[in-house]
Amino acid sequence: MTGIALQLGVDGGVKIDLTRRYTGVELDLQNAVVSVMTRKGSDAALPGRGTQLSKDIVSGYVHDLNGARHAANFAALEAMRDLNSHSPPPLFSNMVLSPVKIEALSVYLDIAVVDSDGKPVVFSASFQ
Amino acid sequence: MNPLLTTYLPVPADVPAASVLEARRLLTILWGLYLPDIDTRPNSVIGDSFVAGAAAVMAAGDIAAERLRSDMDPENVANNIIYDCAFVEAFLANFGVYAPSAIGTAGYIRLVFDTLPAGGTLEVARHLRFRFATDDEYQLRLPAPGPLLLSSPGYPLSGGTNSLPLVQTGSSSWSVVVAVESSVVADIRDSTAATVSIDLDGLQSAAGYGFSSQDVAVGLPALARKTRTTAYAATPTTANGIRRFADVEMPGVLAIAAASPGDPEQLRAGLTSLGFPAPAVDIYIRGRRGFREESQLVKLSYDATAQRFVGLFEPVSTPQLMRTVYWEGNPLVVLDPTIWMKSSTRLPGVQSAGSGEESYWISLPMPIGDDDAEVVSISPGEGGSHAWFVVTYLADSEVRSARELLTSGDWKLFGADAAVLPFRVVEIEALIVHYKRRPGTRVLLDTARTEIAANINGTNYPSPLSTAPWIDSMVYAGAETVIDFEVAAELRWGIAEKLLVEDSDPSEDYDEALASCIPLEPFLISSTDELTPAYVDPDLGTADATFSAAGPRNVTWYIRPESISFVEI
Repeated sequence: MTGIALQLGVDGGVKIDLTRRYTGVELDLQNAVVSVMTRKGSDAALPGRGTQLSKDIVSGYVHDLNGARHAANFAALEAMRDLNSHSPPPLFSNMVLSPVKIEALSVYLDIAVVDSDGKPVVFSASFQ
Repeated sequence: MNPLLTTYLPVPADVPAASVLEARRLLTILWGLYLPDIDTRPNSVIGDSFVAGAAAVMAAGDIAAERLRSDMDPENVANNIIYDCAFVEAFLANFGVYAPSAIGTAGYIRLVFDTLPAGGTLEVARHLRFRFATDDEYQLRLPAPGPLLLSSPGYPLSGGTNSLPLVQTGSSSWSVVVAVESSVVADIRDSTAATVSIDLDGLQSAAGYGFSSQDVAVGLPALARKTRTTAYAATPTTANGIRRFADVEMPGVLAIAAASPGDPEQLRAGLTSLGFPAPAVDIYIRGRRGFREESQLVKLSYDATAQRFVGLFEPVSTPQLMRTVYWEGNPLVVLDPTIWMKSSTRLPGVQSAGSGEESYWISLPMPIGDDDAEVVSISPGEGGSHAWFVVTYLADSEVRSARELLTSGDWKLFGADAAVLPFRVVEIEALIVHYKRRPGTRVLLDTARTEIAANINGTNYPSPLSTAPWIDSMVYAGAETVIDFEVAAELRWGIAEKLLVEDSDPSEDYDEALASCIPLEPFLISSTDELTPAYVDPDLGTADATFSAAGPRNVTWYIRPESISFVEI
C-alpha cells in the first residue's frame, strides 16, 4: 500500500509532498502521526478519530514533562484504537509517544513503533 | 445552475454522519477496484483530503436522488412531501393532470338582449372579456374553437361550434347564459352587473351568477391524488374512465356517473341488426355549485274560448325541479300550471329530460276571482292575445357545460351514442327525525339540521346515501339516540308532468295533446330504504312507455333544510 508523504515542519506546519511516497510501516507511522495530531471530534463522520492531545496542550493542561507524558500515553492509546478501527490495520501493534521538550504551547515528541521485523522506527514531531 | 444541485442537494448539516460513513465505505470499495494500492484510510493523505470530501458529496447526492425520486412518487406528493414544485407540476402533466389553479374563479353570466341579431346569428369574438366592479377580467369558457355564436329562436345551431340559442324571456328581451372563468380569485355575488370589453349589438344587461372561487382542489398534493386515480384513464373510454376524466377535465363537476348497455338505468340501447346491444352511454352530471334558482319570463298565448294559457317554455339553464309559476302582474294569484315535455327521437321518453334535446310547454287555466272575473290581464299582440308569466325552477348550469365538452370534437366518445344528462332528483319533501334526549341536556337541532341537509345534498354516486351520518349528526348535536326517520320523498323524472307523444302540440291542439299524452307520475318514497330506488318503467315495450329508470348511477338527492323536523320521544 502506497501513500503520499507529508512534510511535517518543526513548527507544526504540514505540507503535502507530492514527490515522495511512503509504504509499509513508514506509511502507517505517518497515519499515526496524523491521528495523534487530529483533535478528537473534529471528524463528524468518524467520531473515534484523533486524540485529546492537541486540546490538552492548548488548554494549558500540559505544562511540564510529567503532564506531557501523561497526556501522550492517553494519546498513544487513542491513536492506536483509531488506527486499528480501519482496514487494513497498521503494521505495528504498539506505539510509544515520548515528550522530549516543552516550549510555550508546543510539545516536542518522539513517536516510536516497532515494525514486523522487530526493528524500531522513530519519528520526531512537534505539536502545538 | 442545474436545478438538481440548487433544489435537491441538502445542506451539510442535513446529511447524517452514518450516510457519509456508508458512502465512504462504498467509495473505498470502488476506489480499490481501480487503484487498489493507494492508501485511502482515514488519517492518510488521500483518505482525508479526497475520499472524506467525496464521501460527503456522494452522501448528499444520494439524498438528492432520493428527493428527486420522492417528487416522482405521487403518494409522497399527495402527502405534501414536495421538494421542487415546478418539477412536480411538469411531471404530473405527463399523466394529463395539470394545475387547475389557472381557474381561480368560474361562473356564469346571463346576457340579456333587447333586439335579435340581424341575420339571425350574433358572432361574439372569443376574446370578449367581462369585468365586474373590480378590475378582474373574465373570459368565455368555450368548448370548441372559434367564436361564440348566439342564434335567434328558430335558427338551427351548428354542430362543432360554440352555438347557443337566444331564449325569449320578455316581450322584448332574449337571454342566454354563458360560462366564464378567470385566473383571479374573487367573490362575485349573484346578479352583479358586468361590463363587456366589446360592444354587442342589442346587449341590455350582463349579470353574473353561480360564481365560486377555489372550489376546485388546487395544489400539487391534490393533483397527485388525482394522478394516482386517473393515470389509467386519461380518456373517457370506460365508465370509471369517464368519472376520472371529469375529475381532471371538468373541475366544476361534483358527481358524474355513466350508464352503459346492461345497466338497469340505461334503456336506450336496443339491439343492432347483428343482435349486439347498440353502443350507447348515458352520462349523468351534477355540478359542484349545486342547484340554483333560475327565473325567467315566459310568454303564454291565451285561448279565450277555453280560458287557457299555453306556450312554449325554453329554459335558459338545465331545469331540475320546478318551483313556481306566477303571473307577472301579481305574484299572489294562485295558478295551476301543467308542464308538458316532448322528447327527442334519440332520447325517448323521460330520458330526454335535461338533455337539451327536449321541448317544454306550459299550460294553465285562467284563474277566476270570487266575482267570476278573469284575474290575469290579457295583452293583445302579434300572434294573438297573451300574458307574461314568471317561471322559477332549480337548475344545474354545469350539465350544459359538461355536455358541450363531452360531445365536442376532441372529446367525443368513439363509437358510442353519448347523452349527457342531469341526475334524476329525489326531492325529500319531509324528513322527520325521532330522537331521545338525555334529561337536562340540550340538543342543537339547528346544527343537526344543517349537517343532515348538507349530507343529503352533497351525497352523489358512487357514495350511497346512508342514514348513518344523520345519526352521527344527531349524536354530535347532543341527542342520546335516534329512534327512527320518517321520510316523504318523490323521485322526479324532470320538471314535466305530461309526456307528449308523436307530433302532438298543446299550443296547436290542446285537447288532442291531452288525450294522447302519457302522465309522468313521480316515484313516491316513504321510507329511507327506498331513497336509492331501483326502478324500471313497467310499461317498457308498450305505447305507454315513459322510459323511466332509476338506480344508483342516475339518482341524486335534494332537500331544503327547513324540510327537516325533529320529534323528541
